[in-house]
Order: sequence, then C-alpha cells, then structure tokens
Amino acid sequence: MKPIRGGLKLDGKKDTTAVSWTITRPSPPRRVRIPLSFASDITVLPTVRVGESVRVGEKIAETKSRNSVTLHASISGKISEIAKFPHPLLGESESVEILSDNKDESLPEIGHERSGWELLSSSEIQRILGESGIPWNQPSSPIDTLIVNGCESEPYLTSDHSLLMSHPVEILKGCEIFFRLLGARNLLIVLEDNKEEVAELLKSKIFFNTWSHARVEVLPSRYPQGHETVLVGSLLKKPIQPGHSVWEVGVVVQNVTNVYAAYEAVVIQKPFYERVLTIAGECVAQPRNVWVRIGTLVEDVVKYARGFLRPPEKVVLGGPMTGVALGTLDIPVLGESRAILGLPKEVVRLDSIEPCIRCGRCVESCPVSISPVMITLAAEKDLFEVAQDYGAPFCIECGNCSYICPSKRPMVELIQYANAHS
Amino acid sequence: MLTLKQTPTPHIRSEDSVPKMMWTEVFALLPFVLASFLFFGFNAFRILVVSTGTALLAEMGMRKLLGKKSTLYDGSTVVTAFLLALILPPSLPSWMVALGSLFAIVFGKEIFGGLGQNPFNPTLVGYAFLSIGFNSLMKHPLESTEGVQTWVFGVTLFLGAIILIFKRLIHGDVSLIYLGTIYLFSLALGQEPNELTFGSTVLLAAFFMVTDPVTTPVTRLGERWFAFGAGLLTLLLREPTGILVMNALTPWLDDRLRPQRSR
Ligand code: SF4
Ligand code: SF4
Repeated sequence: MKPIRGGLKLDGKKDTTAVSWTITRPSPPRRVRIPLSFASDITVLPTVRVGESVRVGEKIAETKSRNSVTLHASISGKISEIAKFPHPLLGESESVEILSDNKDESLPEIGHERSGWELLSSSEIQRILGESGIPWNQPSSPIDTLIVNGCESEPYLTSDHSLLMSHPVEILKGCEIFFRLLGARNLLIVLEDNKEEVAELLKSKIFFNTWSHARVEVLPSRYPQGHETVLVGSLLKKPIQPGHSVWEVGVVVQNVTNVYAAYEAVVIQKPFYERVLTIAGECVAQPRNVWVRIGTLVEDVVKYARGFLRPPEKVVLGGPMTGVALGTLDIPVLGESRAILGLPKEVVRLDSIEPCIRCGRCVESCPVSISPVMITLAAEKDLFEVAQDYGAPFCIECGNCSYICPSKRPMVELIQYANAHS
Repeated sequence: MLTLKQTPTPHIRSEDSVPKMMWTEVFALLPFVLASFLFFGFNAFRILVVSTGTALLAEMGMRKLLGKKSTLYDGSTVVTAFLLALILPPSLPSWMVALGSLFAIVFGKEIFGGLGQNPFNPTLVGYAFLSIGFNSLMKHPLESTEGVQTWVFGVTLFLGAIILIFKRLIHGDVSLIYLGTIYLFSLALGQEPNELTFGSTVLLAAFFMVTDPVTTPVTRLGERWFAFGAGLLTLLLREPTGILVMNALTPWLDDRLRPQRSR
C-alpha cells in the first residue's frame, strides 16, 4: 500500500504505554462534571434535578433533534450542581456535577446480553446508539464502504491499540453493527504497521468468521494517516474537497472507540459513559491506558498515573498534534478525549520565532499538497486572496508544517487566521 | 500550583532550528577548509579570518544601525563568509577580501531585511562585486589544478555533502541535477567535462549554493528546475555566478511550480 503524500514520520513514543495491553480500571472518581454542550451551538437539556440520585448509566440529559444526543451518569450518586463550569474546548459550558455515593451502582440491565441483538434492524440500531450517547450522524447518502480507523498516527496514543488487542472479538461485533446500520458492502479495517500483531489477530478472526466483505489494510505509519480526508483520499483515491463530507463518496469512517462503544450499547446494553484514555508524556510518573468515566476531572486522571514526576510545560487533552493545551486541571474529560499528556519543555519547544528561510520543509510535509509557506507569508501581510490561491481552504490543520518549521513559525495559527478572513 | 502554557497546536516541535541548520553547514565545510589550509597555507587562513571577521562586524553594524535584534548566533553570516573565502583566489589582498565580505553581507543580505528575505545568494553577490570591480586582480578561481589537490578538494567536499544529506539539510537530487547538467552538456558540446564539473568551486556551488534554502524555490520541482538552469548558466559562464540569474527567477519558478492544490 502506498503511503500518504507528504506527511511526517514522527517519533511514536508509544512504548511507555504499549508495554502491556491491560487497561487499568481505577476506582471511580469522587466527583464528575459532565458538560451539556458539544459545540458552541449544540446543547442538551438536563433531565435530572439537583439533589436527585442517579445510578451509573442513567440518562441525565437529552435532545430531541434529528441526531439525538443523550448523556448518562458516569458514577452513581447525587446531582450536586447544574451550572456553568470550565470546558476544555468551549471555555465554559453548562454542566451536570455528580458527587459519588461510593456505591458505584449501575442500571440492572447493563452487562446483560440483549436478546436478539443480531436481528435488529438499521433503524433500531440507530435508536439504540442515540439513546446510549454514542456520537452518530446517519449519512444522507448511500454508503458503500465502512472504514474502521485504527491508525492512531499521533505520537503517544495507544488507547485504540490496547482496546484492539484486548477486545478484538467485541470490536469485530461493533464493526458488524455499524456495517448493518449502514447497509454497507465493504468493511475496511485500517491499521498502521506498528500494529502488525493486531492485524494478524483480526485477520484470523475474520477468516474464522468467513467474512468475505471484510478486509484488514496495513499502512506504513505516517502522520496524519488517521485523518479522515487523508485516509479516504489515499485508500480509495477519492479526493475530498473542503467543506465536503466523505459520505459523498460513499464512505463512513468510524474510530475504534466508537465501534467498541457501539458493541457495548447494542450487545450488553451499556451506554457510553466511560472510555479508554492514554495518560502519557515524559512528565507522567506511570504512563498507562485507563478506563476513564466521562466527566472525570483531569487532575483525578493524572492521579491514576501516580501524578507528575516534574512540572509539565503543557498538559494536553488529546493528541500532541491536534489536542488542546489546558490552562487548568480542573476540567472534565470528554467522550472524544483520547489522551492526557504531560509534556516537558524540551518536547514542547516554545523557541523564539525566526523569519521564514524558505526551506520548503512545510511544503514537503503537507498531506494535502498546499503551500503552507506561501499561505503564511501572505497571511502575515493580510493578503487573504493570495493565501486562498495557495490552497488555504484545503488545510486540515494537521500541524505538520508547524512541527517541521525550523524557524518555529506559528503556521497553523496563521493559516487559520487567513481562512477566517476569506 | 502548575503554570501551564496554552499555545495553539501542535504541542510538539521538531528539534531542528535555523541556527542548528546553519552551524551544521559550517561544520560540513570544515573538511574542505582544512584541505585549503593544507594546500594554500597561511593565505587560506588569512582569507578565511578576514572574510569572517568583516562579515560579523558588518552584520553587527547593520543590525545596530537599523535597530534590529542581533542575529549573529544564527550562523548564517559565518556560512556566507566561509563560502566567500573558499571561492576567492588565495592570493587576493586582504582589503579586497574584506570589501567583498562587507558587500556580501550589506548588499547581499541585510539591505533586504536579513536572513530569509534576501533574493540573491549573498556569497555570490560579494563575489560578483569583486569580479566586476576588480577583474584584473581576480584570478579565475576555476583555474586547473593538477592531481592530488583536485582529489583532496573533491573528497572533502563530497564528505561535506554527505553530512548535509545525512542531516537532511540538502536534497542530493538537486545537487546531482546541477552537476549532471554541467557534465552532460559539456560532453554534448564536445568539451572536457571533468575539469569544470569537479572543480572545487562548482562542487561548492552544487552542495552549498544551488541547495541554499533561502534563494531557491520552495517546492522540490522548482528546486530541480533551478538546478538545471543553474547548471546551464554555470557551463556558459564557466563559473557559478550564473546562479544569481536563477535566484532572480526564483519568484517566477515559485509562482509557476506550485504544489498540486495551490492554484
Ligand atoms: S518550514 Fe518554515 S522556514 Fe521552511 S519554508 Fe516553511 S515556513 Fe519557511
Ligand atoms: S496544518 Fe494544514 S498546511 Fe500545515 S501541513 Fe497540515 S494540512 Fe498542510
């Protein structure tokens, strides 16, 4: 398989958390805060009141829009507050705070196999996913190929890898659920070549299941392989134009966490209230993969890894290339948070910014074949049309150009600036 | 209490930096510098010291004058000064070396705003100035030298090239296109190709000037066409000052040969 165009071979730094595939399950936190906003314009309404008791898995908020979103209690206890709290991406958001009763009591049906789940129709599956709080948008056009994205091409991250190694059968069931939901014809599980053992495992399971529609594809590790448009572009040779969805070329890309969550929701009736998260980075005492209840505060997750060895320069929620740098640890983990990283000065490298030396490295590293150097030089002079000419709208904000620039120019920021003005 | 930095993505950066790149270039030049000491003795040393000293002073003075922060640490001035010293004839009087070096820094680089903004290769600007102004004193730098010396120069320069390629500072194919163009077109014109192609000045140009980041196109395709054109011009003039013409064409090449999705 041909690697993606451009891209970077980054130091994976995965060995600290990839030494064992056990995912630790620490005791649930004393307190969680579950944000009710998903984006600046999507907020769900609480269905519980302050003072009410909830069990794990109980619904605490919902919307009734087309793509219904629900939220579930991730610990058992009392609703202590419904108010504005810090949010990692939105600054702040209305959130539901639950204080634990230390019983960790969950809804009775959770963990019991749903009878007849193999026979559920597409719309029934869709309803279950919605009720279970699994992010899902039903495509508006017919889907030919379901791609399950196990690339995990950002450094440090191994949560998908550990989930794939420890629960391959469940993940294949999850794939089957999405496959049926979409009425797709091909199932493509994509991995990077640092997960050969996962590939072998899945291939043998697929062979025993005699699934002729399924295929495992191993790609060379290269960032940002796992990015949806890059992946679809290089796998299926179908370029995605800016502002367009991969649906239009008959493709849906799902990540491993979602696929596993779908298995849990449909088969063992467990809503999406916890996820696997990598806690790593040079500053973290005992890097590992843990099951984290959604809404757990970052400071509590850090304790799962025995804290910091030395003060980090940055704490990142998500991957090192695309995550968000936190200003405080008093902030909740979201459903989409793949990692918490404690990064030291020598990795963050906030060196002084030098002028562009036109070395062209950014151009070579760009996976969408645009010219980061020309765009940023134009952006600095407010020449937004020139920036657009050189392809600014195609930028997927992968961060490669900023990473590689020897002058440490704030490339992504400048490109965002240019795009905001056109 | 933790104080955390909240800057935009990405949160990790490569270890390369401009000073690192430039000092690596200086390092890659050292084998050849030593070889020049060996064959030209004190004169080579004298020229290197005068060229470097003048360049550093010129850069410092210009920056002070314009009220900008000092950039001496970035190593680019030393690269320019070394390259100039290494293409000048060893018998050149010191005042001329100093003049060339001053011109290279002031009119080759700083007048445009410093490293990165200069359209022309500063070394060649200084060299061209001396060639035009004092033609009689500038012995042709490519004059044929026999045997051992040519070999030693060639080997030390290829050693430098290997360092640069290994450190990913230059693209080997670009140097190869430049040298290949000179070699093949010499053959085609019925000339003896080796003397020009493997002379130390052309090799220096191939590894340190045609591959200069600042004054060449930003895309690989552009760099290749640049090298091809520079090769032809070098053959025509029998010295690498023709690269200056390609420097002038670089904005045009950048405009024509864009990455796939830049239109
Ligand atoms: S990587 Fe940085 S210095 Fe090099 S061309 Fe791009 S913006 Fe300029
Ligand atoms: S951030 Fe944008 S411009 Fe920079 S490499 Fe990635 S896609 Fe290209």
